Amino acid sequence: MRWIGLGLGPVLCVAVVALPTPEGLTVEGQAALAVLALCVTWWLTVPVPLPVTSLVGLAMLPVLGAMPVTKALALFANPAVFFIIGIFLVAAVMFRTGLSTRVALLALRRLPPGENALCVGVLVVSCLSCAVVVSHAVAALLLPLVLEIIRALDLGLRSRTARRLLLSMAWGTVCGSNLGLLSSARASLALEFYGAFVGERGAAPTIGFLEFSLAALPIVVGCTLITGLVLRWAFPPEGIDLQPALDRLNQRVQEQGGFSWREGLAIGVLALMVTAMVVSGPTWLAPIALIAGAALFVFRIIDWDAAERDVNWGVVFLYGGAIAVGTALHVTGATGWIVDEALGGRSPNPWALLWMVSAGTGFLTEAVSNSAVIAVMLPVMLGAAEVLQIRPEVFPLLVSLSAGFAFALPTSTPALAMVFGTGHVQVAHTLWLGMLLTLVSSGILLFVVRFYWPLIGIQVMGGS
Amino acid sequence: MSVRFRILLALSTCRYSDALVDHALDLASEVDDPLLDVLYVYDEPSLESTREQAEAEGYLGPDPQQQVIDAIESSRERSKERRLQGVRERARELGIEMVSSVREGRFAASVIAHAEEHPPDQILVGRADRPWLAVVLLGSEVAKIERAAEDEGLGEVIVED
Repeated sequence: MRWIGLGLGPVLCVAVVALPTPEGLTVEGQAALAVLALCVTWWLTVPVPLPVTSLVGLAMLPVLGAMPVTKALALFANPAVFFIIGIFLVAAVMFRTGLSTRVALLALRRLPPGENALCVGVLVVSCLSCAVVVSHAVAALLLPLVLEIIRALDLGLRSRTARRLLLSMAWGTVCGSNLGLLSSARASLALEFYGAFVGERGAAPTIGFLEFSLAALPIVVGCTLITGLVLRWAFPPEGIDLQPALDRLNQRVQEQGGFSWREGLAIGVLALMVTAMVVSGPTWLAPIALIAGAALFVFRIIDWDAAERDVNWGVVFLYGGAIAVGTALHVTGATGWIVDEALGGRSPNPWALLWMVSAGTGFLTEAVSNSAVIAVMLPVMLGAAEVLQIRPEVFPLLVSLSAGFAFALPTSTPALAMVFGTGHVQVAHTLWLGMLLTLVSSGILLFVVRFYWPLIGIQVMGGS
Repeated sequence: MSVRFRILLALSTCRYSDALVDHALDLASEVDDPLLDVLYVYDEPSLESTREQAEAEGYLGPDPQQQVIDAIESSRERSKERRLQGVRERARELGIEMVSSVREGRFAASVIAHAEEHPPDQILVGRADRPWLAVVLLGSEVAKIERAAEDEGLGEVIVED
């Protein structure tokens, strides 16, 4: 598959460039679509690491004439990339200081006895931890803890409780990845596209840190609740004595020792950062994240060597390149042409379209990196907003939240890949349940969009 | 000099049942001088592919990646040992000699490679917890073993559902 993708990407790219330019599409737009064809093929088949695909896309924009060199490369240095640097540094600190693990341990050992309580506890702790730490990092922090519980209980590969515990952790982080801008990198990517779109029209973006969290909260609550019920139904309790697990959790708390000054400082920096992000507008998110990141080094909470070892900085290249390719589609008018061709003058039911976009994004992200899904989907949907008379701020929220509904396959999110890697969970356990959760989550999202978002000032209909 | 009757019992992360083990031990009890050769296959995804995904899409640096991989490896090792120990104890009770080995990768390829190195008289395999869609798309691993055994004369294949 990788070898096929490696060859197919350039072939499709050349084919799109070589075709006669269709009516209504600019030559620059055609070039941007050719770059998109290359990137989508490579994002899908992954013949080279995802960040490399983004860099190739960035380089091909001027090579094929989609935009001048300086303009294309300037797109790379966008605020979302710097915001992402900040939030990954926060995640590194949580890993390095053990703060996240301490909070999880303290929460889990206070749970009432019973398998249901333990599994729900793991689900909720996994979800809530994503409020301040990127969801993938939460999964990496909590997986060893959950496996320790499974070992303490001496659960085998066929144990329902082991499966439920592991999926509670993985699906908890999937639900929690939508909690806010610190929960995943994709949300800031979506807001960057939206900010550039409204900025071109001389307006300021209206969705910031607080607005995103407020809009997402009922969806996260709804999805977590449904996930807990589905897990309870699919993997009923086995009547296991949980005392060994509680003993192990207490032992881990003892091993962690007293609260360190580093943990205290990390909490202080994090609290100040979140407060500043809430009170400032969307424009200031990246500088605040960078200042908070710098403060972590100033206060010696983390050093540069540790930061390099805790984060794969390829994320910067992936997001920088993806934003450049997505923005090029919009700037060259390619998205407008796609929308005109797709709609053909028709006006589809906006609610049916929103549901299709949500469910489609959710299913697409099972197989493709969610940043790639957003880079492709969002510019097109923003372009369609005016035609459909839907407010543009709806789409970054809708697409970003839907890209978080990845419950079924190990390819969908690293948290699920880790859980599959243990051998306790097979595709047979998650395929149908995961697809069901994706559909139900999309339904919850549409319900919230229709009835709740207008209450917090996010109007859905009306165009830009 | 008598030739030992070699029974290859192929287990894996997602292919195990008490009935399969019972069947293997019953067969071993019925023949003279049996050798129960238990192969445990670590099914995919491999540790390497899990590490790759944690790195490529999770953006975890080397240290958190290692923490995750160590935890998974330790868990897989424990599960393997738990299953092999169960078979070992039952074989000992029945006085059947048992040897064991471990491979990682595709189930069929691993079983065939092992059978080529240590030709068995019989191969016992179980069906996996795979959805029918995966079997349709990827093919049956058991069918691959049956075909290879027939083509290469690797012994009789017995499938426990």
